[in-house]
Amino acid sequence: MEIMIEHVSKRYGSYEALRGIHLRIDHGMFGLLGPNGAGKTTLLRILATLLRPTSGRVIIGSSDLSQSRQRKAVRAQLGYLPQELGLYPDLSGREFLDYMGLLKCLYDRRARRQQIASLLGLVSLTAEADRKVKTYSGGMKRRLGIAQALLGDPQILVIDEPTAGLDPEERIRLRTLLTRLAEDRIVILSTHVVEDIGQTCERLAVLDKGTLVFDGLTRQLVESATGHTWQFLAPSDYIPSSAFSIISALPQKDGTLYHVVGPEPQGPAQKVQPLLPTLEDGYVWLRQQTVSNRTATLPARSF
Amino acid sequence: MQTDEKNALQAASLWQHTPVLARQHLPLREAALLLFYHLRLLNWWLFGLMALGFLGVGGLCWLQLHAGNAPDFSRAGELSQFSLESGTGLFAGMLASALVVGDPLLEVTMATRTGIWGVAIWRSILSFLSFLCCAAIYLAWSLGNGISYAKQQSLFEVLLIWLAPVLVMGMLGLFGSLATRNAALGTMIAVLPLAGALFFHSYLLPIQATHPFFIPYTSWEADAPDWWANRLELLGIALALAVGNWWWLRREERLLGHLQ
Repeated sequence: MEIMIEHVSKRYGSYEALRGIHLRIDHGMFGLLGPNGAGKTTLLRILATLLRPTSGRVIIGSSDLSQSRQRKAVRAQLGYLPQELGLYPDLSGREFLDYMGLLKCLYDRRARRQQIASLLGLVSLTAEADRKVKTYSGGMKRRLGIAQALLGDPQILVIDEPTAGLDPEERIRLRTLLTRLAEDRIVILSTHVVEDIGQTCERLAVLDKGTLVFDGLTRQLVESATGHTWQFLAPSDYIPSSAFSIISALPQKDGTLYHVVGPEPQGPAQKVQPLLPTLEDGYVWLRQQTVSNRTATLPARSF
Repeated sequence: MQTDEKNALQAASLWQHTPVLARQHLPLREAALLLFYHLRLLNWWLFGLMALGFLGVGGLCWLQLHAGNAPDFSRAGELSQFSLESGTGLFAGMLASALVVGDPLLEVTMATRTGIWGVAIWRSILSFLSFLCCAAIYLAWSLGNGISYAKQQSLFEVLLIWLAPVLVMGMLGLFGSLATRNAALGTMIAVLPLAGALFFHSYLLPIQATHPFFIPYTSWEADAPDWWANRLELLGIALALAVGNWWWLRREERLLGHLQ
C-alpha cells in the first residue's frame, strides 16, 4: 500500500493552510516535521479523511479520498490519534477500547476483547485497564490513544504529536513502540520535536507555512548541514551574528562554547571546529535557508 | 529507562494480531452493548431528571385527584398536559443539543467506520426511546386515573401532545448546537420558542399566524379546530430541521471548525 498526495492545497477562507503539497508515502515510518502552524495537522486530517482538500487529490491504495464511498473504505484501514485526544473520563480503559471497537464495526465480541487485551499489553496498560480514564496520567492517556488507533489492525496509522507532554521515559517507550508497529504498516508521525523523527523515521517531509520544503531521507537532511555546523569558544560578552542559528551555548571557565549552524565563524571566535551535523542541525539549516530565501536551496523531492 | 525501552520492544515484538473482521451486520447483543455505552456517555443525569420529573408530576396529580373536588381534578389534567407537552419538549431540547457537540472524542469518532452520523443516530434513538418509555408509562397511568386530554381524545391525539414538541425541540436543539458548535447555545435556541409561547401566550394566541409555531398549544387550545393543523405543522417543522441536521452532520469538516 502507498499514499499519493497530489498537488494538495487547503484554504480556510482567505488563509492558505497547504499549498500544492505533492508527496508519496510508502510502507514504514514517515515523519512530518515543521514549526507550529506549518500545516502538519491539516495534512494529517486530510489523510485521516476528516478534511477535504480545496484542490488536488489524495489516493490511499486504490481509494481516491474525494469519493465519499472510498473514504469509508479507507476508514476501515485507518487508525488515527489526533493531537488533542479527548477521552471519556468515566469509562475504564478497557471499556473505552470496547466502545471504540464497536464504532469500528468490530462486532465479534470474543475476538474484539481478545484484541483489546493484547493491545492493552502492548501499550503496558494491562494493570490499569479497569481503572477509570480520569485517573490516568498524560502518558497513559497517550498510550490508550495509540491502542484505540491500533484497534482493528489498521494498515495506516496517522499520529499527530504523540509525544507532546510526555516525560522522557514515556517518549522513548512510545517511539520504540511506533518503530515496531511500522514494520508491517504505514505510520505517519507528525511532530515538531526533531528528536522524535530522528530516532524513528527513515524518511520525512518538512512543511513550512503550508509549503513542502523538504521530502527525502532523514540522513539527506542531516547531510545538508555538513560544512555549516560549527563549534567555537567566544568571550562571555560576545554577541553572535544573526547569520547563525544557535543550537546551544554552554558557559565555560574561559568563555561560552557555542554550537551553531550557519557560515564559518570569524572574529573573536576561538577554537572553531566543524561538527558532524545532527538532524536538528539539518532542520535548522533548512529553516534558515527557507526563511532567508523562500525558494529553498534543497528542492522538495519525490521518490 | 533501558528497562522500559526493552519492555516496550518485547511487547511490540510479542504482539500477536488477533484478527477481528469488521462487519456491516450488527448483532442484537452488540447493539444493546453499544446503546449501553451511549447511555453512559450521554448526560445520563438528564434522563434521571426526566424520570424524576414525571414521577413528581405524577405525585402532584395523584394528590389533586384524591383531593376529590372538580377544580382539583381539572388542575391535574392541566398539569399533565403541561408536563407532557412543555416539560418533555424542554428535556428533548437539552438532550439533543448535547448529542454530538461537546463530545470529547468527536475527531476520532469521525474517522471511524460508524462516523459521527452513525453516533448521532444511535444517540437520537436512545433519547427518543427514553422519552417514549417515560411518556407512555405516564400516559397509561394518567388515562387509567381518568385524566382527559381533550373532549374527544384518541390514542393518536394523546401521542401527538408530547411527540410534536419533543421532535421540534429536539431537532431544534440539535440544529442549534451543530450550527453554533455549542451545546449550551443549542439548548437556548431550542428553549426560546417554548419560553416565548409561555411568556407571551396572551399576545400571541389572538394572532392566527402564530398558531402553527405555538409549541404548548394544547395547554391553551386543546379543543381548538386548528389543533391538528398545529400538530402537523410542528411535525413538518421538525422534519425540515431533521433535514437540516442531516446536512450539518454530513459536513464533518465544519463540525471540526473549532479545532482548526
